[in-house]
Amino acid sequence: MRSSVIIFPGSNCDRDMDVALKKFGFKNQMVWHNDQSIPKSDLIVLPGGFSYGDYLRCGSIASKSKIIKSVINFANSGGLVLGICNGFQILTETGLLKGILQQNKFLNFICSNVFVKVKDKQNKYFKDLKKDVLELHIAHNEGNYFCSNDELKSLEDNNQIAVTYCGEDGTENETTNPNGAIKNIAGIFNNNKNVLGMMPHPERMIDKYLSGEDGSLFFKNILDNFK
Amino acid sequence: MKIKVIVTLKNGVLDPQGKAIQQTLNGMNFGNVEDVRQGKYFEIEVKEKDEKKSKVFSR
Repeated sequence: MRSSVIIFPGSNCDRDMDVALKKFGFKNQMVWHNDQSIPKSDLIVLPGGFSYGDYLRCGSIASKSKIIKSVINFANSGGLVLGICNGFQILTETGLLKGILQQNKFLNFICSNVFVKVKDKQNKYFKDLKKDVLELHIAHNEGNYFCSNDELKSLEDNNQIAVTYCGEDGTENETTNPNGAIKNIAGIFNNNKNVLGMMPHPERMIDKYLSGEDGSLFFKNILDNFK
Repeated sequence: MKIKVIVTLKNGVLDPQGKAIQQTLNGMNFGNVEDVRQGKYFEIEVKEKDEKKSKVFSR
């Protein structure tokens, strides 16, 4: 499976993502934001970080960069686009995903391990995933997902909510919500479920010497579903 | 009375965020955008009717 990771000025999880993808057998290429086109890929990843220093609004300047037209075309033709953290923010800014990511409820930068519940498995990312609750890592200042009531309803009706913050046993409530996101939402899909944006970083959980291996399950699952 | 305060960098000081916004606008085919300076905007509500007094407060 071929993948491309887009590098924006200020991205800082691009190489982590590269290491993670290659570890599980993706043929990965790095693509510079100022390029016009993306090499042939089955998956495009917008990595985490602080693209353009989070100037103006997180992800907003990256969503107007040169490469992004090709990303949007790729997504609209059904290709898999994965946005992690800042990548999620960029995807909402391009309009590929609904809603926005506001500043965290308690105005603090959060860096910790969290549990997320997989809400939908009828898609190429989570289909046949053996676990329902994953332990992943978050590190963000603007992860407080918000959308209008109509948008929320359509997200729920079409099962577009991908992952939600929860406890180790899968309970979702206010105490398991780190950043105030509406309905504990940690990640969502677009209509066709080929575009996934989420705040947690699976690429940081790919080795037992890091703090966990649930990210490995995520990447292996994408590969398995591709075969 | 409502006091509106606009805070920007002083003239002549490099504003990297403004520069980044300007370059993005140029990239979006707004070629005639020459410079952008950005800052913060506050709306402050004060219990004061006299304009002079509120101005003193806002300084």
